[in-house]
This record gives sequence, C-alpha cells and structure tokens, in this order.
Amino acid sequence: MCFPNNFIKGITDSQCIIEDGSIASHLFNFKDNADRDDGNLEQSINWEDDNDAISFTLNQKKDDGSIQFKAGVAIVPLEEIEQLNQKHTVNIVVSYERDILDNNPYHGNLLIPQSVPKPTRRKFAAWIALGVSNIIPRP
Amino acid sequence: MTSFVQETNTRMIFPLPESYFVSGSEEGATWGGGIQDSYLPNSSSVESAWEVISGLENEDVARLSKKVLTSIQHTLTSLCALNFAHCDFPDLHAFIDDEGIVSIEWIFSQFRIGFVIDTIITDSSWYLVSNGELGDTNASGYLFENDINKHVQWLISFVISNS
Repeated sequence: MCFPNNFIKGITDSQCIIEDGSIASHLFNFKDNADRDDGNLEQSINWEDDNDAISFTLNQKKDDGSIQFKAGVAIVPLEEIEQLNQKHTVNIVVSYERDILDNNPYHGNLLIPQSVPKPTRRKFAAWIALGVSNIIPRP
Repeated sequence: MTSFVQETNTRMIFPLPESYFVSGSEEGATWGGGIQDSYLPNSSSVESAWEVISGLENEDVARLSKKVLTSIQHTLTSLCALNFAHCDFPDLHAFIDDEGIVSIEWIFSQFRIGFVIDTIITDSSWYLVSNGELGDTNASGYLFENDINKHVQWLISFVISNS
C-alpha cells in the first residue's frame, strides 16, 4: 500500500501549541483503548494524500456539528516514524495503516503494540512531536 | 541542600553525597544556611507550570506533580546559585489532559525532557528524547516518588550540557 510523505495530526487544544511554534508531546500519546483485536493501540491521523487533505482536516466536524480540531493541525513526515523504528534499541515497531471512513477518505492510524510499557509509549510520543515539520493553526 | 560539582568540558553536573564537606575557610567568613527558593529570581521558568497544577483535584496526582516541580525548582535554584548554569531557561510547560493526566515538559529545539504523572500513580514516567544532532539520545522509565530528585538532576544535567 502506498503512503504519502506526511501525515496530519489534528489539534483540539490550543494549549498544545507552544508559543515558540513547537507542539506538546502528549498530543501524540497512544492511549489505552481496547477497540482493536490485533493487540495494537491506535491513534487517529489523516494522511496528506493531496492538496485538500489539510483543509479537510481543519474543517472536520464532530457528531454535534462543531469543529473537531479547534486549534489547528500538525504535519509530521512519515520518515520520522521510519527513523524512530530504526533508532530505538529494542525491537518495538510503530506501524501505521489506512482506515478509510465513510466521512473521511484520508483517515488512518498510528499503531503500537499494547504490550509496550507507558514510559516507552510516552517517549515515542515525544520523539514524534520533536519531528513535527509544520503547525497550521486554525485561521 | 544538595551540593554539586561540575565537570569543566562537558558541563555535566554531579550531585554530591549529603555528608560531603568542602574544606577551607576564610577569616571572618560566615558558613551555613540553606537556599530559600522563593527568594531567588530563577523561579520564573517554573511559575506557569505551578499555575497549571494548582487546580488539580486528584490528590495523588497533585502531590506527585508538586514533588516534581519542587525538585526541578530546587535543582535549578541550587545550580544557578553555584553558577553552574545560566538562569534564563525557557518556560517549563504543564498540561492536564481530559483524563486528568499531567504532563510536565521542557521543550528545546533539539531535545525535550518530560514527566508524566498518571492517575494510576505507579504508571507515572519520565523521558528524554533528542534529534540526530544530539545523537538521538533517548531514555525513559517509571517515575518512583523516592527517585524524583535523582531523575530530575540527571535530566537537568543533560539540559545544561546541551543548551
């Protein structure tokens, strides 16, 4: 399956955006969720497949019709995930997938094995945050 | 007060055992006393983080968060007072997510360190990550209450050596 160079992470809380232009690490946390049966934890992303992906993400709405990502979006090169897997000394793999939804053709997930302890998950979140290439706040 | 020594080239900081004595004296000099954090000017980098955690309702999370911030503040105060570090660090950032988990993070362009105080207290942790310019140095572990000072001092040593 072909993936684009970047993925997009929506930002719901403006406090995640630091005044110097960086992003808080907890935005990329893998939270405990038991929705999958393949032993992985997931966090939602959108793939930057085309020029419309960013504006689509910025305008995504929740079920109640309100804007989902009130603060903006962060752009992360997929290369950061590939390098993270190479950098880490223990054989833990952060993987990714497409997960197209009826109302979101760009949707996907970052995945990490559920067995990975929380300290390591949070370290990976910080690593991804360190690799953010651009932050686009909501206008 | 914890005493420190600093290696000249790397600027790494090493804490000394509490019983370590420094020899020498000057006639008429006064020795003794401790450093009072609140009277020194370097607390501003921790101030906004204190404001964020002041409203925590979970007592365990609040207690551990305060311990971490106190340790960071005291370590910075000691190092600045000993002229081991410059005193203009960027602000420490604190966040409380929708599950009540506290993240305390220091963000630099090439690296970041952080502490996460979980509502399941034994799942609290710390981390250090850096980019390729600093050799992709990385570490993480569980945050035990009795080891907070040790983790803080080690991480701040990395900050001083690389900022």
